[in-house]
Amino acid sequence: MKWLELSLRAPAEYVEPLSVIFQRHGYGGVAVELVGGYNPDEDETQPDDSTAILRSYLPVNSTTAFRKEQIRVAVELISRLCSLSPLEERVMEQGEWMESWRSHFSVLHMGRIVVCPSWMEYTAKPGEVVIGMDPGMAFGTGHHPTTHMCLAELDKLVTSGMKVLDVGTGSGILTVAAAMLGADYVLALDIDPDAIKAARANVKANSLQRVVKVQRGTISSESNVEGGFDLVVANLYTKVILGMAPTLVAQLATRGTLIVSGIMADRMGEVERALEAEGCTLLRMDREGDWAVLVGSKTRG
Amino acid sequence: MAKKIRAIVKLQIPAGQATPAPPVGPALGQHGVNIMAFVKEYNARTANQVGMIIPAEITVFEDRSFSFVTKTPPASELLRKAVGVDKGSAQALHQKAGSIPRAAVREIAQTKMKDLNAGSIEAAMHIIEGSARSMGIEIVE
Repeated sequence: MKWLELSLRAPAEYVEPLSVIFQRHGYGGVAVELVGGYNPDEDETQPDDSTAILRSYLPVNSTTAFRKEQIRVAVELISRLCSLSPLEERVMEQGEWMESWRSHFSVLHMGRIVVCPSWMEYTAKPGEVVIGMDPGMAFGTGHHPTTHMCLAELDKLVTSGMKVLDVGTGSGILTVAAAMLGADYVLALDIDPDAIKAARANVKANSLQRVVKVQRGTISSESNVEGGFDLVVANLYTKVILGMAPTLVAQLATRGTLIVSGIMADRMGEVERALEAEGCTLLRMDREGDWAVLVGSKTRG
Repeated sequence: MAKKIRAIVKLQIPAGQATPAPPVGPALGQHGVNIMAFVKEYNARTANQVGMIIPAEITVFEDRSFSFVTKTPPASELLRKAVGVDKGSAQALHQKAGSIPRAAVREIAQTKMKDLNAGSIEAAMHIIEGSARSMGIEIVE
């Protein structure tokens, strides 16, 4: 079975009437898409002049031509009131989307670490540590620079027997990597229940339940976080890291190492000073695009 | 987890019965969203509202992770249910699709309140009454 995708770009105020037309003649309703490209965590908002993309799907059969004509006429009438992009057509095979989302993920190499989507096969070379990950709702497949740079640091820093804390674990990728690299114990925290679910699933898929504890919460409210960690990794965002600097450093054992990521490169200096004030000295930093990672060592307290 | 937004996708789909068929599958698949993860979660969250259209607003992040919120059903959906008709009138001015007591309008306004841009319940009721009129549904005291 084939499907015909009809799509068009329209100003926000014409989404409503166009939706009604698409809804009436398309199958199962309409998808309205707003273009992104901004980061609310850094107080960026959606651009005001944004347009929306409307998509509707028609099964390819004897009714397609009629349905398409209905939509075409309505779109033409509305286009007399405002500027609309031409109606685009694309034929899709039934179920092709079930495979297409997976094409956005590939096997990822980072030092000794290999991140492999759960539907792919990978044979480890000597010395490699293979992590199986299933991208779900939670953040962290290793393909984003912030996660990527954390994996690179974990590859350099984790040695066997370490006690590791992962603050804002998301999909659990950094926790799983730390455990696979030889950590004795990893505590993974997140405030998002979806992340907890995803992290637990990924820990289980990699058979690491005995080494890893996944817990909902954060370090400021969690009196049962024991402290004394050899390594703390926090892949969050600038604002949160600045606010959490004292609690992050407090969880470290003396000489312990802190990795903070998700920082906008232009705010690196601010984060460095906040950590320094808590007795954490900067060892090195790295950048990828807009993003920076900082590695510090607790020298005081 | 510094999350840059890639796109926001809005879908109006039947509660508890989402499937990977269009529009869900292709609309989300092209952004690299794990379709089954969404379908499962959406159906779980809306299981006790089966029979209603519950819009979902999905935020897709740069790394293809996503989160979503569900909205209240469209006003037209709630009105059709309240009147007990399959659809509104095609000629709202000449041919009525049915009628609805004002108390029921208030109830719908209360349900929709959190998704409406209305300062008071009366303002929300005006919005619902407008939808009703355009569907050929009469308001009776």
